[in-house]
Amino acid sequence: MIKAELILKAQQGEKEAYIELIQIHQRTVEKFAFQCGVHSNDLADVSQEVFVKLYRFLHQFKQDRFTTWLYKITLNATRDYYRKEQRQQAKEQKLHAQPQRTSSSSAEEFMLLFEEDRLLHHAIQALDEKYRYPLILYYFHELKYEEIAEVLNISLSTVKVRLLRAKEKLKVALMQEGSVENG
Amino acid sequence: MDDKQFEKRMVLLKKSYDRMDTQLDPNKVLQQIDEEKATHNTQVIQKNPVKRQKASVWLVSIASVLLLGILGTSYMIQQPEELSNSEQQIMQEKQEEQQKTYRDWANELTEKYEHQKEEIRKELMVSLDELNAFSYIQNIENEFNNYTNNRSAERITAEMAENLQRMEDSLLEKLTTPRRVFEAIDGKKPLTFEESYKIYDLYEQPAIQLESFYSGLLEPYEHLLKKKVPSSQYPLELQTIIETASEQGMELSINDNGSYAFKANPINGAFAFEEAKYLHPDSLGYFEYSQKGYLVMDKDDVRYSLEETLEILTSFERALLADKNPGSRYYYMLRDRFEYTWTALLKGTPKHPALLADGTINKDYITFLQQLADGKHSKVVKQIAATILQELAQQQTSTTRDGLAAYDIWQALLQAKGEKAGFRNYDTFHFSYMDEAEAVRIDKLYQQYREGGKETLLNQLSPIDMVALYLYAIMVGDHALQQALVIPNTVIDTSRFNHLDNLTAISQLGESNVPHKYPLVSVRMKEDSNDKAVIIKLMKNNNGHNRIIGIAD
Repeated sequence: MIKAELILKAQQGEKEAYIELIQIHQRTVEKFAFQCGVHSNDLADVSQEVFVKLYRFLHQFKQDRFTTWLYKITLNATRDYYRKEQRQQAKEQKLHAQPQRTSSSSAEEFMLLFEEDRLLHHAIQALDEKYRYPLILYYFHELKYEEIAEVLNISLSTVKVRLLRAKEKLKVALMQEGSVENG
Repeated sequence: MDDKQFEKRMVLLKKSYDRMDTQLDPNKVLQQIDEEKATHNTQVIQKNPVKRQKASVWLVSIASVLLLGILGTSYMIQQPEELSNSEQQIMQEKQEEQQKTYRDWANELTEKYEHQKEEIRKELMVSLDELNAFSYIQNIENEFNNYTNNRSAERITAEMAENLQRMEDSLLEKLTTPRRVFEAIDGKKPLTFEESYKIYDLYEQPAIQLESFYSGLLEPYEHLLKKKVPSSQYPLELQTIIETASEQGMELSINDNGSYAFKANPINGAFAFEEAKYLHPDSLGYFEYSQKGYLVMDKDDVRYSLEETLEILTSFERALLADKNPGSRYYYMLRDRFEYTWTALLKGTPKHPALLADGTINKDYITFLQQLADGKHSKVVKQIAATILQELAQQQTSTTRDGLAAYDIWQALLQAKGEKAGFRNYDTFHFSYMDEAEAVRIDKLYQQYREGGKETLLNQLSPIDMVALYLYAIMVGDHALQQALVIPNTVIDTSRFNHLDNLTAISQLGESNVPHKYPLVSVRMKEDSNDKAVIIKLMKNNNGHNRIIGIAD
């Protein structure tokens, strides 16, 4: 069944169609959430939240814009996640003076097998979100400039400028990290 | 690190990401959806009614301001009222996106609109000011401004892609000329009655207003035209006027006042449009209505020959019987003229009297009634004619004839259409609500008049706009304009308009039957919390243009 038909059927309330729709898109959602900074342990929960929200708004989606909307919802879900995380960390800091995130690196090792990838992943995470998101969408999701502009609700020229700067910043970060490691 | 190295590392990372295993169980998603639905249903039952009411008021106010009912508001109604941060963000982003879509559309529309307007201006050989003075253009301009102002974009809320296109099509199709209306007929197959009616709807106002405008331009050449010199010897300006008008289906003719004027005849005229042959034959009555004007003139006599009048009435009748929308403005106008003309003919006119000077029955009148009773000319008045004939044969007099009124013709029409009850409320069409936009438009009209439009502008006004401008002149105390808008030596009691600041609506009521040639315009004002109407009568001045003649009591 083609995607358009699936969306239509899901819009009409067919659960099987919606499950199929989830199966098609869940890898994209989880990947994007992880790239945006969601901890690997929380990926299932955040993705679940994304598809629950997607279902709520499903009746409004135009089929040709479905993917764009999916990215938008995921982005919003990750932002919510960040806020919760920050609140949680603040609580933990109050209780323990140190945040309790001991499983982080091991989980990432599980997700990203190569150290080089983990370094780059971290460097991307460290970028300001206005540079991070265009970069992720461009390199890892192969979205066109226009699509990125739509997902992030910014102009085409802003996308181009931010991508250029993201690359520059990332290069600098990687070189610094390399020099530290090497040195 | 050079670009190549950078790109390579990004590609490798992408491959690593792509190898990630998925963790989500889709069934858990559906489980959560079901749980939320159950919770939401419980919450909906317990909702605070005040919140719901507020939302409704908000929706209604937005809809009324924008006049964009077609855009719908179901989106807002269907949403849960308590929204999480992310949902609020999504909704906000959706709104922002809708606004962006709307603004993009409005920008594109502006380009198309301006381009089309300029094409029309060139086609009609008018200046921009002259074009803007046509009330049909002003109406379109108002609509266009409503669509393209910033407030509209901010208030747009619902799924609208399809509706935007519809709004655009509807707007641009009205920004037209008589010629363009006909040229838009593709000619692949004959049009249905409804399609043909739509053509008339688009055609009527531009045709009437252009007729009046081009006729006004003939004034300086009146003496030349009367000399009947060959048209090749006309000055270039006059030749251009005639040519431009003919391209819009208009012929040069002599009006009832003996002056030269243009008359649009898009169906049978010398410059009729080729595409007219695709119109549904039953719809032609509407075009005939527009082209022939009044059928009964001063002193209740027919304007054309009896035969011609009967032919026209036949075409009217076909349209009235075929039209399934008796609530429409044009239907009412056509019906009104049909009723009045038949009433006059059945009662007898000065040229075709029922009774001779000595009080005896006119034999020609009896022959005429007999033809009607035999079903010739009309299905609608057949029975009325037969009844009058029978009464005259039995009693030498006819109570049916004596008491005949337009209402009786209407009843006969309803019967012929197979309808038991009809719609005879004059106030239901051609309204002009005095909202802010309308006030701005009238103010603009006034400014144009002040800037030199003067007589020409007044001559182009529809009865409604003429009355609106008159009321405006009262409000601003412009006595010169008040005088220019009324028939000379007419005194109007302007104290009747003391509540103009509470003006609610102006509506055209069609044309009064007694005396028959007066367009009537109703002015509604709030007075002591009651809605009161003052009816203003108009008539043609010596130059054939509408002017105010008084208040109908």
